[in-house]
Amino acid sequence: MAEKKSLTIALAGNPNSGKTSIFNSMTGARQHVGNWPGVTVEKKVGYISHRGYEIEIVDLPGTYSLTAYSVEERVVRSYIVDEKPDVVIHVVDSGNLARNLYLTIQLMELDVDLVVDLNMWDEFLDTGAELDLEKIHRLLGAPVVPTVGHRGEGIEALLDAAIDLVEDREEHHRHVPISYGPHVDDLLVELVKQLEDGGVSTHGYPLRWAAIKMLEGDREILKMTTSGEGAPDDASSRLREAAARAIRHISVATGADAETVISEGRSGYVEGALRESLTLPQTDRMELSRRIDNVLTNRFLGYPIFLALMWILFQLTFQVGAYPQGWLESGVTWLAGTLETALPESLVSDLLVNGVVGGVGSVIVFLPSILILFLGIAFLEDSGYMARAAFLMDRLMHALGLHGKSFIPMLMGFGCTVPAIMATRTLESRRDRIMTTLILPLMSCSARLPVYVLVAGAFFAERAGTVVFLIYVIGIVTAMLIGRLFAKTLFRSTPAPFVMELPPYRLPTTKGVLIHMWERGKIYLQKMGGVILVASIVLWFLGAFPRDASVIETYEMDIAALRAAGSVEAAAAADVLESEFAARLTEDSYIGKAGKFIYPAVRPLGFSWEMGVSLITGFVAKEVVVSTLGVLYHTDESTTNGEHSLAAALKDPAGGITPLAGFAFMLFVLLYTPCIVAVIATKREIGAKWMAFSVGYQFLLAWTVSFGVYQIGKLVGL
Amino acid sequence: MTADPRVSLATLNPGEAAVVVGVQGEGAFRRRLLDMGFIKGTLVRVIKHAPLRNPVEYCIGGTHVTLRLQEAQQIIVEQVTPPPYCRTHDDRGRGRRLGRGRGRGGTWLRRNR
Ligand SMILES: Nc1nc2c(ncn2[C@@H]2O[C@H](COP(=O)(O)OP(=O)(O)OP(=O)(O)O)[C@@H](O)[C@H]2O)c(=O)[nH]1
Ligand SMILES: [Mg+2]
Repeated sequence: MAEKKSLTIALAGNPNSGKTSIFNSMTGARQHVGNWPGVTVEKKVGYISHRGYEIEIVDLPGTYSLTAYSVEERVVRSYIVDEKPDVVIHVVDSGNLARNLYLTIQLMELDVDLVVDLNMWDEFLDTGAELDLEKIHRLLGAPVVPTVGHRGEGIEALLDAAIDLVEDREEHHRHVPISYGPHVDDLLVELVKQLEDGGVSTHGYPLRWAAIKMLEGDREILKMTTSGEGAPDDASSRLREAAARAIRHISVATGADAETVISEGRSGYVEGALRESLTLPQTDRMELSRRIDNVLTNRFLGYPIFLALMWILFQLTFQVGAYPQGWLESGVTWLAGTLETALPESLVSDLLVNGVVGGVGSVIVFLPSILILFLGIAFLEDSGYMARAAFLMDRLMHALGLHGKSFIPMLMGFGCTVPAIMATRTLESRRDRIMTTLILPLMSCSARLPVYVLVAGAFFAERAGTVVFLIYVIGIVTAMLIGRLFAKTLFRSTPAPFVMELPPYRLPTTKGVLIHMWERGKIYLQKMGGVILVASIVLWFLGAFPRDASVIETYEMDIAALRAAGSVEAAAAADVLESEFAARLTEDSYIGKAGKFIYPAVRPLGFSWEMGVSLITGFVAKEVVVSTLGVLYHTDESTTNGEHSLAAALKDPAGGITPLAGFAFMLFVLLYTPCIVAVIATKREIGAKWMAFSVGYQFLLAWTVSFGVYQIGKLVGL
Repeated sequence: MTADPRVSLATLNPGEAAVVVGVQGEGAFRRRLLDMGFIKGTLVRVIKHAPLRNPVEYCIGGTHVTLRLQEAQQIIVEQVTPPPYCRTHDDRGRGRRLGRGRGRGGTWLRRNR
């Protein structure tokens, strides 16, 4: 048998117990870890080989239990039952054995081959606690291996234990059925018998486990066993009755409901096992964290410190980020210039220079700022501060009908809406995820900044900075108002409860923070490489075609004739004709036609038709608004003062607009439909229906607000 | 004077401790509380309130968990003397002797008289 044997190992466990750290140490992969419960929201797969086995390692989301109530828990249990991994490694936070082993019991009841990984063993030893490994091994009937996940200690032993288990060299290995007391046990035996007799299919779930879940009132399992789909009709109705009877019976006999009795049974078993094997810690591992929190979540200092940290984060993002952004900008300009001179003038070179380099370049310059923001967020998350920020912000977020945890995606929204939408997955309830995703785009992402800089720079000169700041504030305030409105109308169900663990503060590792940042930055880059590239090309095409050969010929001949004349007046006339020619080309193009078509819709807002078009193309990515305006106003972007000439064109009394309209335009860009990539992400996260709603409401909001501001402003004579 | 010793967790002040008697309500949230360790017989200690009073940080089984007061209301407890672990700010310098006072328990006593 020269062929390598294959094996699947799944990592399960409580949130923030270190599963992803173990996964990374095993596979050398770079998944995102974070000192923040609920970081891994989808399962991730990696491959290694060990002792002649090809091993597939699966990192599962963190769960406290295996109920049908939350998505993660359903993912984990159906993965274990459907995919049948050879071994499940339960990654346990040794600092809180009681709660962690409570899940171990449930995993054992699923009849899996289990290895218990006592992770965070370093912290455990530091507190002076002791655990009799031999005893706990025997009591649990599963091998136990201490590890330090982020340092890779004990990983070999962990893999060895898993392989031993598979090769059946494990001595204590047995499935200990947990007793829930004579009452419940009898009822379970009876239910199992009925399941067997009725020929009910539990879709791979062990019968006893299914029976327990029926007593716990697990909807999914009840539906499976009693809906008649898995069983003949009479058997299923008999089962339903039997389960109901058993539940009633338990509550009469014990004075508590079945769900509680079963929870207590599990934790009672764990407690018993720990009483025999665990020597309690000398010190509290939260001791240091609590001292830190005496300052950071202090009644008086908490908010000032929080605000100061946010201020620093934004300073770093926008002030420090401006330097590398400047370098990238000159790099892009240089590249465009070089290409323009190197290539013979043709449609292809125009496509390359203005379409590809111009389009993608206008986006890539934001990468440094976004990476800095994400780096800061990663640092705050990995240190444990973000959980405290959620703790501080919950009261305010709750007033808006949101959740303390909504705060992190909203913060990320200032960088890029797309990764921010992905980050809503750490919210537990679907209602909160939808609401947060709906108002997230109102946090002005960095792609919108160049539009503000252009327009505010053109109309508000030295007060430009204040005006831009004001736009950001308007975004936040609007988000608050909309949040309240939605909470009062669309989402009147009670918001999700705020149960969140505050992990101990930990010093973030450089590797951890960088991986974390990169995971999200990557999403931004992917958006650029894909959608923006394609969109830039399409846009260029729409702007360059159709080309009426006869018109071009006439103009070119006329211009050539004037130039040939050689007189000063003729040259001037040629210049005029040339710009007329360019304008004519744009107006005749598809974009120009579209602009003319939508002009009536944007005229009441004080916008020019060029601006109307730029709003449409801005749907691709908001930074495209600027490049579109550049094209439409024929300002040569490749010159160093390209921005300047565009600003001048905007102000120009002939084709330009008023400052009031400029302000309305900034508001429109702030509020209207997010870019296509964000819309796609919205659809993926909350479904097509809500995506349509998101697009619709924001468009309406933007139009109404801009209309109101412009018309009222005009009335009062601005 | 001794009425029902059972109160809701929400009535406790920072520094005070109690033993869980039961969790009221039903459905997903109640189950979550059970799974997080709010099970009969478990010791809970109030660590602190957020600056705006809500939510509240609790220490349970060596971990710190936050709940809003509305949610803590569902948890029925019986007050006990704070243990040496799960210490709070108020304990500073008091050593780790068992049976120290109730932190700001004075208000609790007054309110429940
Ligand atoms: N001291 C110590 N810290 C650890 C250990 N293992 C992981 N950590 C840290 O614990 C935190 C959580 O680790 P993750 O690997 O993200 O935890 P997870 O179980 O994947 O979390 P979720 O995906 O949220 O369920 C990180 O800050 C890690 O650096 C360990 O053995 N000792
Ligand atoms: Mg993880």
